[in-house]
Amino acid sequence: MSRVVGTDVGTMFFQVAENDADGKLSLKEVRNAFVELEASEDIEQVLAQNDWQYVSDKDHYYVLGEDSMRVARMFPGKVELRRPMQGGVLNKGEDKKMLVMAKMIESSIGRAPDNQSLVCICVSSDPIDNVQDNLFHKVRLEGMFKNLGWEIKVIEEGHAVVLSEKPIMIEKDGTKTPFTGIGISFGAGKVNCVLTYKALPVIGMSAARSGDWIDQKVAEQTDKPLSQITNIKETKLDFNNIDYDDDVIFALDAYYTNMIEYVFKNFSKKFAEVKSEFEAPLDIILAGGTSMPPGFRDKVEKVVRSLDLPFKIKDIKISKDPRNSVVKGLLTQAIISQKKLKEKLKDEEIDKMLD
Amino acid sequence: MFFIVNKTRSPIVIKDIGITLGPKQAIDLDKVISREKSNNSKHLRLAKSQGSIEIRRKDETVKHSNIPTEKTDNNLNSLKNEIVGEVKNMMESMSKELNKNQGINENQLENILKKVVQSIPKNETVIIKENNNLIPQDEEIEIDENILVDMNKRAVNKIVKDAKVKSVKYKEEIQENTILSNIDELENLLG
Repeated sequence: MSRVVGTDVGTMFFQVAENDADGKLSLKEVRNAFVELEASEDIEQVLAQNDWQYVSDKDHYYVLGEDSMRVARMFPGKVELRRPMQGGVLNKGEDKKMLVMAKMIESSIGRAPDNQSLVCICVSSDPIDNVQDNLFHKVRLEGMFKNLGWEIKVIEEGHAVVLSEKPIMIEKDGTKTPFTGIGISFGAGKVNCVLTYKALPVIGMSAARSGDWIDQKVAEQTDKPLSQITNIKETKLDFNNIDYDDDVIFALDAYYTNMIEYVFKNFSKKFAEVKSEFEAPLDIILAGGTSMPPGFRDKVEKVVRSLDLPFKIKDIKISKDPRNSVVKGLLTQAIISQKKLKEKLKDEEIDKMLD
Repeated sequence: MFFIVNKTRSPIVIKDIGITLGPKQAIDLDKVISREKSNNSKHLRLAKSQGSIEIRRKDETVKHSNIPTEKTDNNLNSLKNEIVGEVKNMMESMSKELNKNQGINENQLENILKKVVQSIPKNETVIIKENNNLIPQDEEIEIDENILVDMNKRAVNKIVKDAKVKSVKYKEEIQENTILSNIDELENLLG
């Protein structure tokens, strides 16, 4: 039976969404990280005893996901935590990225059962702050899925947020235009923004100032280890209650503000460049792991309302499920694309019969 | 503006865009062909890499205005100065030769003057729009995305050939399906 899947190959997490047999939504996620262990006689025994998830390639062993974090914490300084993705794209400095990613994809969604099975993935929109485009990343990812027999649909990450959250623009005469608004995914590697009109992307951009950038900057400013900063950000940061005596919290707050300003100023520039005109105010939908600290929506509102933007804002909303918003949007697109694929294959079959 | 200069003393033919430039001649390609064509010209890239063509100015976007900018004037002036300087140098060396040979006869003088005339770059830009039908257009090899994907597919196959994956544990969650309600509406919008 055909399958249809949404997969978000993110910088921090690898996520999969699929409808299960009961019509419910099944979501799977694994941390997109690994460590390499030195091969020894009893390595497989050690891995099995600890029930660590791993990929083996000849004499090399790579522990994956959350287990890689545990191993890195157990052997600090001896084992390096490595990431197949960096800054929203495949990590150029990591020579095992293809092996690890390909096996992660294989273990999560497996081989396509037939030629009507389709996976929808996302890539970043055009970058505003570096020259690296996404072509290389995109074709490498597509190659990994194609190798397992999947048909592929690729969309922009911010577009997936809109497909999942369904913002509605209300015209002056009261007409409702669905799937129209700005979707923003605040990921670990990048922030992705897409303005969509009736589900069609109009403007897209990505910025390299996001979760990892904030962690890095705060670590530099406070002289604390990166892992500690990430942990504080994920567990203690609350924009409704900022403790300005705490250096890390104070720095996190400052760099979050900078990130929000940077994203909206640049998006405004893009908006002005294409001379897009929207009479009615637009909804802005926030999603992604970096948008999860409490009070983030209000913080964005405060920063954004202080800026002179070339479009009117109706409301700023945060996704009810910010971590899974993108992958849900990808599944939505995958279902639509699969229907089209099936129709196309049917037409081709009829053409063959007529010939 | 896409302003290029023939740096050599002989004519250069940029075959795939049908343009011939005389010695030391300059041209704004945006005025004669589309930017897409000039950007895709393999022969132009080749001439540039060989140093025979120099790109003096290339704007990011093609402007529709023909009004020369200050920078353009500077480019043209520097080019003019360069040519005038070279001619001056040649004239000086020739006049030194004439001074040395005081007893020069009519034929020798004529030969020297001919040399001077030949060495002066022709003043007009020669633009020959060639018949594109006669030019082989299939020299440029464009690799499209599908080919790149297939190349990567083969690469992945090779990379994972001997690799095995054991017990990857995913954090799993089952949620109420909120997606299906959007599908019909989206299909109507997207056609």
